[in-house]
Amino acid sequence: MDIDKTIKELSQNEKKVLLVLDKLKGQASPVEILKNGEFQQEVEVMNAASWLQSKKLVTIKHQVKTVYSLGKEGKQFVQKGLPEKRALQFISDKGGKTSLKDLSNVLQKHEIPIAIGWLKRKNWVVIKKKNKETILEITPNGEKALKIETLEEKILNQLNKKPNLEIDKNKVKTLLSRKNVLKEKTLVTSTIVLTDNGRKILQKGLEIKDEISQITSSIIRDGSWKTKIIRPYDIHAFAPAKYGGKPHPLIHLISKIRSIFLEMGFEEIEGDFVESCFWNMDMLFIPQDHPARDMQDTLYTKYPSKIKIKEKNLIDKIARVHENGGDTGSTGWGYKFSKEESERALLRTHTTVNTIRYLYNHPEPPCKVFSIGRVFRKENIDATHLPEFYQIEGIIHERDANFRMLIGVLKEFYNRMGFEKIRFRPAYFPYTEPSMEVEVFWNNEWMELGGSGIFRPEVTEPVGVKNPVLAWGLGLERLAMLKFGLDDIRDLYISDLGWLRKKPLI
Amino acid sequence: MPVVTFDYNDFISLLGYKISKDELIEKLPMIGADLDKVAGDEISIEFFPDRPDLASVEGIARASRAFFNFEIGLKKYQVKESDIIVNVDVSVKNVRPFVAAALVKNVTMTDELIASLMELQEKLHLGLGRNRKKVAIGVHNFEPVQPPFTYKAVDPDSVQFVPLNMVESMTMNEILKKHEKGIKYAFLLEGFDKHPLIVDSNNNVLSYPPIINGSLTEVTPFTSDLFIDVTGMDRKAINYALNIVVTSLAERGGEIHTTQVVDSGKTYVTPDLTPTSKKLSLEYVNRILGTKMNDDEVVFCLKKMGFNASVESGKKLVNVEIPAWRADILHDIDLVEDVAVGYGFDRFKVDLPKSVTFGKSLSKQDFYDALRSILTGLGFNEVTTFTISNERDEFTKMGLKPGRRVEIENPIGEEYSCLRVSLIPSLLKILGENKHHPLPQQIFELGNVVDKSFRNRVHLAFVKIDARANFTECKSLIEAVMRDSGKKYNIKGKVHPGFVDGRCASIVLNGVEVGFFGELHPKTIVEFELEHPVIAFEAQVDLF
Repeated sequence: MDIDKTIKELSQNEKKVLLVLDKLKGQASPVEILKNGEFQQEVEVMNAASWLQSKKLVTIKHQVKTVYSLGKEGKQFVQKGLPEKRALQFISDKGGKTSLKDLSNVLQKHEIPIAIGWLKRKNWVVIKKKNKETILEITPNGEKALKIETLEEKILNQLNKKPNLEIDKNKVKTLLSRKNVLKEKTLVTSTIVLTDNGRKILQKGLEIKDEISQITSSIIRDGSWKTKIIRPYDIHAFAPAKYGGKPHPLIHLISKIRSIFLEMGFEEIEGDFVESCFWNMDMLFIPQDHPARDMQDTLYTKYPSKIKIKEKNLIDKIARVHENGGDTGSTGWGYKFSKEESERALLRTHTTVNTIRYLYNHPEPPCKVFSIGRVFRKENIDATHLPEFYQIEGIIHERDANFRMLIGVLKEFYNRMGFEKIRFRPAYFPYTEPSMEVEVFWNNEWMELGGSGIFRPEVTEPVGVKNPVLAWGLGLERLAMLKFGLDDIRDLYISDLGWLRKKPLI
Repeated sequence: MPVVTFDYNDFISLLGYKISKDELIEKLPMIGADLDKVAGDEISIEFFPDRPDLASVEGIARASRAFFNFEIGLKKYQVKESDIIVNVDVSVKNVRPFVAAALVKNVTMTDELIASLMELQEKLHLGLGRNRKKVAIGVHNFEPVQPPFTYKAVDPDSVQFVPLNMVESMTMNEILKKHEKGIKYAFLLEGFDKHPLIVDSNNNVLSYPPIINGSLTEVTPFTSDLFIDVTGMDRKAINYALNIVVTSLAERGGEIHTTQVVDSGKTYVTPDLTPTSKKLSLEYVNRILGTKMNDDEVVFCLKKMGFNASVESGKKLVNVEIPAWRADILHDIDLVEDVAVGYGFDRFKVDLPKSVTFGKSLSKQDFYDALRSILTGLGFNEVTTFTISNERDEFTKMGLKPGRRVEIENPIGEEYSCLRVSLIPSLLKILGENKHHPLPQQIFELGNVVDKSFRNRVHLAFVKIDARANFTECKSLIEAVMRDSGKKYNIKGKVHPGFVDGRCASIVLNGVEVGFFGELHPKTIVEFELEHPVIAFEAQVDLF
């Protein structure tokens, strides 16, 4: 301990507590300190003592004790006497024997059964039946009780004079068993005890100078700061936590991805959640009997159940491409295309539906567009699956676009996302050829983050696009989980406020 | 995606060459497959659904032999002709029109072969066969039956036989009701009076496609000659399936024999392993891939992928012979991908787009970002929640009558049966998840809801739960949000059953109600299982 530094950082009140403790032989209750020092309130003492404890100059010992005071009935008893005692006196006055019904002369109706109960329990009377009449007869015990102040009466009188007394629990057992006679309260009393360090400080000598702890407006205005010392604080002392409002980490990550694509010259596009099979599937050369179109993979809607396809020429063209390749140079899938199936409504399964629609409306190169939006799949919710999640989608359409550019752009994107090692593997998607899987190296592991490829001619030619279109659909949640160190994907969408408050934004 | 599991040692004996397990595991994905897991000598890979020829260890060994440079080019199989005839009766034409068949002789029935054949059959049924609808395969012991065979459709009550895994003879209709496979696949024959059947010259039943085989031709460990039938709705698909099955058996030493399928006056010799051919333009390959490969390099890449390829002199074209088991070559572009895979994805040098384009964000993005800053500045934590919700949360708990919404036909559960129409319920659910954290809690979301015309809308909402949350505070917050977003607005009293009467107001912008705010009614608070006062706000900010 640096004694001088510690002394400097002591507040006025802390010094006063130490000095009073010194006077009271190193140990005192807050009340004693309050009385012996120049304090206004006990809370000042306790505050100072807590700080002293954190500086290891005192320890605060807490003792718990149970104290009693009189309840409503108890106060009555003190005034009028216990009902059984009053009854006993009456019996005694009547010569030691009386009939039960005569008790109503001294007791109220509701007090009678209580009195009888206790008279019997305390063995002060015996009860006899005579000619259909109940007779109470005093016992020697009863005689004795009349002459003395019983323990119960003594306690009641004590508490009447001085409430909140600590009394042995055994002694008040019978009183506690009666309603509203006693009030029980647990009191914590503290004792503040000087430590060895505290003694060392006192040996060094403390003097109470007029110094400033909290700088106030009036101190600034009246200039008193010019003559007084501003006490230094212990900068390591505890400060209460503060939490500001913050963006959600996932949205923050999306903002970052958005700016990367914008910086790389891409335009953002968007679309609706509810789509037709035609735009979501058929346009992307996904055959109508493809397993991904099953009810167990795709979420279809019953309201709306159908979405009319306004582009009549296009649907005819797409039907031919599926059936026999049309004019695309492909063999097609060789099945009978159903326009009714095309009109089925679904929740989009990928945002590629946005890009193909964009290409249809903007067939002339060059274009670079991206979208970041929710997509839906029929997945049950668990630690690694959700029925809705984000897809980061993008395309590049230019005259001489090629496979190497796709590799180059995705490498650039992931480099900007902070991944240095990126690799590409062959993959399969119905609407791209060649197709690639993108993997990044993170925590000594290769992680799959998304699919990419060049749109098949069966996809681009029907919308009037003659050049290769480079495309990708990357996952966001896995990337987010890597970045945030989460192992349960649900935590992204069912936010724990504790996590949100404490999670660093960067 | 489908997973093939095989034993490393079995693979090596099929491959006929040495490659260490580590090298195999490292390089296999580069052919076009995802490594699923490795447990000792057991390797599992996910193959791509467009490559049913890789759906067995035999197929993977064949592809590896070329890819790892042991034997490049197209694998040749010996095919012997036989005089076995399969007659196709016109009665099957409207049920299940096509059949192809083959005989594979001298097969040694090892455990590995049986396991692999069963797995392959299963995978082909599921993928290429679309759960047996498009393609179904029957594998038989050839010995007890007598060609010629007939493929016909019969009244399902008129024929009975003992199906596989049963001891009693049953009619075809009984099989559909009682046999495990019958029950599972009966839907494929629903609505047809006559059902497909393959019988031999003595009217012994081989197969009731696509349901079950007869027990007569059950394959046992002692079977050596296998008869394979493939039936289906698409001639190309059944031929691919047959070619894949017979070449897999040939990889294990089986001898392939053809059959003659006589169909509508034409004779089809199956299996037909003659490769198809395509002329691939060198310029196309290099343009798509961004490479400068010469014809020899392209030929080499294709041979590594198991094609035969040769240069057509002087024409900058490559003649490609495509194996009869490759079902994925629809277009020249599919060959280009194989060139790329043969070349090696890791060898491509990066390039970047050449055209000049300018970045452009969505028109309202800046405004939405500003709103988010305003809310975080007011101390609100942003959350992001599911857009799939349910009628109860969206309407009933808010005291509203169920309104127009997007309803999901096949929801994952009752809780996830519609798309949300508003954000407040999502936020209240988040408060419900955070009851163990100290108050006050204030959260907001800027997110999508779907409107009555099924279009996406952008909403902004906040909720605050606090022992002393009240309308006045809410109004102060709304004033701050509107002031900072620079919008002139009015407020008007609003009656919303989820809010306290007289403590709810709507926000009116240019005469249009764009949102509302106020104190939630205790019954709403209780509905969402909360216990403290809540104030809430929601607005359609794409109208701002």
